[in-house]
Amino acid sequence: MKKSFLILFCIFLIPIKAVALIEVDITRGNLNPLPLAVSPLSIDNKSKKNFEKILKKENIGSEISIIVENNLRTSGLFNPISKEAFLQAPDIANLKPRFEDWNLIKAQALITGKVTYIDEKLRVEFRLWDVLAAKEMMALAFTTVPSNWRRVGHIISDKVYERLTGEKGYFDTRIIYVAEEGPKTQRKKRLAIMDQDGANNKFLTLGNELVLTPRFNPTSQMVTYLSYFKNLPRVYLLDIETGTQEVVGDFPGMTFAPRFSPDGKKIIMSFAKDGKSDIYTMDLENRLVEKITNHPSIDTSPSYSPDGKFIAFNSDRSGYQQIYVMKSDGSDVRRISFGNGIYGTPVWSPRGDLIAFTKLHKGKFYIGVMRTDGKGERLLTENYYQEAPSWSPNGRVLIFYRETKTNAKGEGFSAKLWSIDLTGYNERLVETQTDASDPSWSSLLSN
Amino acid sequence: MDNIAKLIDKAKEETAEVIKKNNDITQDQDRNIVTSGLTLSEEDALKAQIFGCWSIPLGLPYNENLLVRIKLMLEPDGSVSKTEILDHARMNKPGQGFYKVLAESALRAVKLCQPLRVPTSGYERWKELQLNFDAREMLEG
Repeated sequence: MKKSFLILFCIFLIPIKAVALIEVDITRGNLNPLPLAVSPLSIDNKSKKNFEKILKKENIGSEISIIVENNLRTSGLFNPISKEAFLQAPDIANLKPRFEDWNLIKAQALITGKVTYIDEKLRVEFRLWDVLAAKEMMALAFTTVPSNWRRVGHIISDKVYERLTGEKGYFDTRIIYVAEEGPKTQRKKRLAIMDQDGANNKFLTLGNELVLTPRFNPTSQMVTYLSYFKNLPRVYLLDIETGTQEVVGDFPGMTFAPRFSPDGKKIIMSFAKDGKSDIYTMDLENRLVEKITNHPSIDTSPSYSPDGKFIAFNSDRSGYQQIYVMKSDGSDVRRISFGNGIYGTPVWSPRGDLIAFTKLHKGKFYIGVMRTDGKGERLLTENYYQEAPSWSPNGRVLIFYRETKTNAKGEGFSAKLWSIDLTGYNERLVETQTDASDPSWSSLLSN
Repeated sequence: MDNIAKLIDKAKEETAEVIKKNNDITQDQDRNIVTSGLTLSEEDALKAQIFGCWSIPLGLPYNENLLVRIKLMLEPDGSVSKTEILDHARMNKPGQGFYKVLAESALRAVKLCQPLRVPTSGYERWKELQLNFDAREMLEG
């Protein structure tokens, strides 16, 4: 009897318990940038004077915090709060933030830190705080030569970005591009490189020869690009760190867009031979060239998937220029773009999930993305003329270039770099010293 | 004792069966039977409040199972006295960085929103509440 009662009790208890807790599904939220406060990094007087002497910067702590703030703001995912609203001094905030004060100005996250001069080195400590939970989320320290102070700002930005979004950042990176000057018909084109925020711009070539399509090696600071030497296309390798340059080879006819394989051991490109344009790879160690496509159509713009197993490319084999994907040995070719218009410059995302492209439809150029099977096409931006998307190393942002229309007198032409978030928001002009085209984004320098 | 355990398990299965059968009924009835806690307007008010407080981390992948379930203990005025992430063990597992980021954003939303817009009566009904945060729909665009 007792046993039966217990069983009955249990049977009744479980269903009641199972339905008692009210569940509410939260499937929507806001996509507003997260409000956060970047407190100036505190610095003692002695360190301040030392860095002022070495770097000619009055307060290096403030300068680093400005870099962090600008990076996070331009990502479009964060909204740094004006420093004028801050209630707590940087040195005290770094020891123990008064979370009520930061809560009062609506900061959900807080970055604090300290800069010191130790043994002729720059030491930077920083902390990331969750203001609402009143707890530390991350604390790190870096020691480096003082001249690396901007990179420290970028690395802090990357760490904060990763901790708050879940994906790696893209701030400690560089962009190589073609710097352009002069009238449209007589453009002087030089290879140039800069930090992703536009700082430390350097010209790498003199402008005597036409340079085209620089592309970073995903595993190093090596670049491949195309240049015309005595009117013949020539593919170069350039080591950004050492400045060493070597010729990979002279190729016949029209040669296009050399690009590295994901392991950096090969380059893939297209060139015209025997009256048709096909895709070829070259092993950089033994310089052996292998033909990948063999079709009477024009095949160009190859780009490897990040695992190296597939290649996306352009072909007019269906009559119009479309995007195709094949296995890296050239087999199993399948068309993936089927929308209206013509498609070009496919670039596989470093995350592997999307392919960015340029599309021309009814006289307008679009930069868009589609899944690797061609589904889910999304056009991110439309303009008079724009092309050559290149992914940030985390696959979140695309950089490309856009040209403006000239007037009847042939004036008013310009070419500028722009970036746009994968969501299609946060379109930004990327400041460069001259006109610019053909950008390529490096991998993270601190990898 | 084993027999009792089997019977309890059986009871669970039967409960599951009942719920499954009820799923065939229309959505509104389902809501009343399964959750039997808040009215539609009460639930909508609470959802609308939390939607405004939840900053979705945009870097999260849309194709992974990232559901964060948080159990709340509430005061009669809607302030939150305790929060518990129901899959807390997942927070610190290797390779679960995205889950941790999502869970932290959900906790921030709860803290930012409080006091929650709860009904003015029936405290016993809603003093414990479970919020299921699922960003997939938003991240898919």
